[in-house]
Amino acid sequence: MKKRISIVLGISTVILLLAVFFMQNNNDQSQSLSIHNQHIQVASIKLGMSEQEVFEQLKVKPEEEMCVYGYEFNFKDEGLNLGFRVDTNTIRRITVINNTDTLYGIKNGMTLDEAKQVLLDAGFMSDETVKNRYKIDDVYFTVVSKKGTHVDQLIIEIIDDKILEYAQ
Amino acid sequence: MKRNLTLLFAVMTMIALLAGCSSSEALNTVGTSVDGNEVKIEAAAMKLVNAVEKGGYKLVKSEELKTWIDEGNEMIVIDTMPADFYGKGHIPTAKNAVMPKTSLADATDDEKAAFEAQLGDDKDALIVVYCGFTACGRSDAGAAYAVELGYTNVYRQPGGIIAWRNAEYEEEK
Repeated sequence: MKKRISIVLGISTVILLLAVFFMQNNNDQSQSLSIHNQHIQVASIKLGMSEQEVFEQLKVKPEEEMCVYGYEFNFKDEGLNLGFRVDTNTIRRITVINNTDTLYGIKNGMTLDEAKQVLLDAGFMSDETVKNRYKIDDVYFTVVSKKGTHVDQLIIEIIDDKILEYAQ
Repeated sequence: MKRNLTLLFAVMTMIALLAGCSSSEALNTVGTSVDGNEVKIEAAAMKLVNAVEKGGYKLVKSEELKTWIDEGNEMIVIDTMPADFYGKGHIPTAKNAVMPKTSLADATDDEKAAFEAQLGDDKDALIVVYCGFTACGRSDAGAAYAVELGYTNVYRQPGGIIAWRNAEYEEEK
């Protein structure tokens, strides 16, 4: 009887610890997202926003396409592409193709050097594996340049290895 | 003791079942039409036909590509997915050169140069380009670019790495 109680208590403790660990992780990510979202000036779109919230904000029907990380909404006229997580249906990536919206104050048309300086000042670090990609906490910021001189596209995305695992 | 073992067995079975559920769910979360919606399949099919016509390359299905690899055919296989994804697993012998998912027109000079560097000098070499899945446009951009550069034997494997996995073929990591 005593042994049985010990086993049940042991299992309960493990489950409780796991729950606390996952809750802590989620809290950390929410705090980090909220900080990054303050620097996202793209209509009223923010990382972590739900599909429903996006429709309410943009009131435009996007083209929907699948991608390996989930699916995405392409707002052609707005010059905006939003990537969603397939498990939570929330925004994991924002791509700015227009010349008006800004991410961390960076706008398409700026020089690559200007954009790099802004990102380094904001605490981002150059990612050695992909050119013009920067990293901070659990977020990647990619500056796309067709000719290697000026910014043509801005991408901010949440890093989450679990997303990659979905395609495994 | 017997009761304890039964309890442990029940917990282990539950965990195994949960793990099983999540992996089978994962298998169906990425692809051209994960919910089996025929509209998405039709859209992908139309896009593919138009892209092949415009791009001037040929198609090869996963099964045939597997045979080519198994037979040791000399060829250049290029995975056009982002490096993070390529690193998680790719078709054997494939090199990585990312292309945009929209179209060749959106490729940066760096992307084009990196892709070109993988092609080699032999314009008649057998070249196979792939990406994620049929609806993905990265492999179209790559294959079309190879044709534009004058390569004469260019194939696109439309189902990409997801079709390769669904066929349960071996991957390289």
